[in-house]
Amino acid sequence: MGQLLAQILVNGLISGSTYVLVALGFTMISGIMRVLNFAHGEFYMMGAYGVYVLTQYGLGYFPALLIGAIIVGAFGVVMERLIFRWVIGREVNGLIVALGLSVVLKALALIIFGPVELAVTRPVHGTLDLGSVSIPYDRLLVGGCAFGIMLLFYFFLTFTRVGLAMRAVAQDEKIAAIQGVRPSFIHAAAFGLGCLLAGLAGGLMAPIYTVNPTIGELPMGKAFVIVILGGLGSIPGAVVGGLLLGIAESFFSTLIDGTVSAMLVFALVVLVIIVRPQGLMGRSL
Amino acid sequence: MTRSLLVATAFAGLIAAAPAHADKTLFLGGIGDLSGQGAVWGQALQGALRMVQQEVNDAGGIKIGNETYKISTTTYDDAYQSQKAVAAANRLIDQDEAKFVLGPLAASGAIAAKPIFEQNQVIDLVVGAYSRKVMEGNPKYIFRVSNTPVEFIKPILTWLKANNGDKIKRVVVMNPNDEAGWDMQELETKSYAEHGFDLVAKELYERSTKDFQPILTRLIAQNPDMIDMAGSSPASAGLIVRQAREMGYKGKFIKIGGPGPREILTAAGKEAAEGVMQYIPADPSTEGYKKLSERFAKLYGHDMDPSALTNYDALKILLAAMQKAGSIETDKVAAAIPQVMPFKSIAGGDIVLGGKSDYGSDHQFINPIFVGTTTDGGLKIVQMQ
Repeated sequence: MGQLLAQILVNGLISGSTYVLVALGFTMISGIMRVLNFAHGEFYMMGAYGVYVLTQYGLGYFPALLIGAIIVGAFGVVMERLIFRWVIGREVNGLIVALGLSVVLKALALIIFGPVELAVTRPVHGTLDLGSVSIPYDRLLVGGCAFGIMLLFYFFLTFTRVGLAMRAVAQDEKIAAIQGVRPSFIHAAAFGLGCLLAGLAGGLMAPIYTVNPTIGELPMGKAFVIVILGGLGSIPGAVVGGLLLGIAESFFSTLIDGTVSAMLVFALVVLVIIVRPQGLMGRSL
Repeated sequence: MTRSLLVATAFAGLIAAAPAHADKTLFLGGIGDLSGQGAVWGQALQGALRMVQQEVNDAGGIKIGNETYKISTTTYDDAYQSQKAVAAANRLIDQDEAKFVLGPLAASGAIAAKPIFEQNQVIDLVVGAYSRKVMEGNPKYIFRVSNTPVEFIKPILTWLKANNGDKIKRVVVMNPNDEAGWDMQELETKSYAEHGFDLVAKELYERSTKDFQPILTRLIAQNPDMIDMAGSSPASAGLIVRQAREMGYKGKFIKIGGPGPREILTAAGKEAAEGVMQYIPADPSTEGYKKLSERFAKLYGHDMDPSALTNYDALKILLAAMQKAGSIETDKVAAAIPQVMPFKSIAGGDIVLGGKSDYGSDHQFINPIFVGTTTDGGLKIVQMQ
């Protein structure tokens, strides 16, 4: 039983770390811009297609991952300037705009790539056997990258001028503006960075699963659950919520079954919302 | 005045004569998943319609009774969802005035759209849709054109027992948690027991699942000799194979459900997919299959899923029934379908009509049955019947 629990925990931590990566960008955008970016899953999808296309042109996996994510981030900045800046602070309007963009991006992917499942060659092969616990190297790589990106993100927000400005805008945009911060620049930067993170997550997961126009739907749903669980706009909340969700799903799916797992996870979320409406680590809704 | 009269008379004559030479249009509608998990099957459905349309129109049309018809087709995407299948059925009937429809693919969609087709006297050639409920109630206008597990599970398990019975005793079955998955699980539970296999675990998972590791951790702990991915989509089946292999599972895999060799290979990878057995509705090594596959590849730029051939054969049966009936009235065409059976598949082998003992009416097309084993990225084919 101990061996099984260890395997469950490892599975949960690795899947949870990828959830965190998607949720970080989503919660940052909602915290700074008060926009629920429901097209976030499609930026994840773009990251996955980016890696697929770039590797098809002979680029190595890691350069493709990085370049693909930068392209997705840049596209995010363009979308912010063209569309989202008009709905900042108006959560319902922003949500509808994001849903519309989500439909458009999925349809475009369908037109360009078709509905077929595409595969990205895995950068690493094999399985790490630790006695009774086995971890495929590609998942280990994703988990490692996810934790690395989380650390970088933490340092960016804590020690860089732009990161500090982002936190200031998230706390109080008017006061931040009086201190010389340009909110319009921060909004574009935050949206681009959030999309870049989603693109990174998609690119990291592309070799693990397959790539198709709808792959962003599931991570988007998870990201939303995580930010509600952890607290809307809370970065630490996204980390805690993501890992908690990954581990809870792993436990319930392994010990009971997948359907009951989905039910219990949502029961847990409802319970958290009732007991702590602001989420585990978030501001009051 | 006389000249004007002559011109007018000639013009009127031209107008009067025109309809006698113009071809009429026969509309064939399609409903399939073109954007969701079953998109490979939806594209195979759409592709079959397009290939038949191209073939008939290039030959100058099809003569039915005293009329020559050109074919036009439209396929609507139901994204494997029942409400969208119903919307597509209504749209085809109300707006496109369709009298003949291929699809839907999903059992839930086919069941939901069934009363609409029956009430409007529209012939619906259902594809896939594994639930036995699709054929319940003695429908008059519904025909299922592809084999279902009811048709292929017994020959496949008999073959499996005879060829691998000493190596395969403990079996695990994985199905999606929906109408088709439940029906499939019930049928497989009975069939595996009847054939002397020990079904050690049955799993129903959500169709959106991508990470099967938690489920596989539990299932592999049962020490199965074989995992049957049954009604899983080909992409999900490929992920199950790959993730189970990564977790150290050494046993066999089979998919006694909807085919999708290319998608399984893509999702699992060549190494992990080696030895995976699956139901296949047509032999890809035949000349007929190769020619059709080439035409499909020209339309879509990739290999054809074997189910396209089943759909193509079904449409040819429908056209043959129209010619036999000498009419496109659906009552007459439905009555003529049994008269054109058995029908020679483009890939060889006969397609017959059956299903009375299992469903209550002979509205099930019974196609040849094959098992394909993935070998070095290709398929090694064995014919069951």
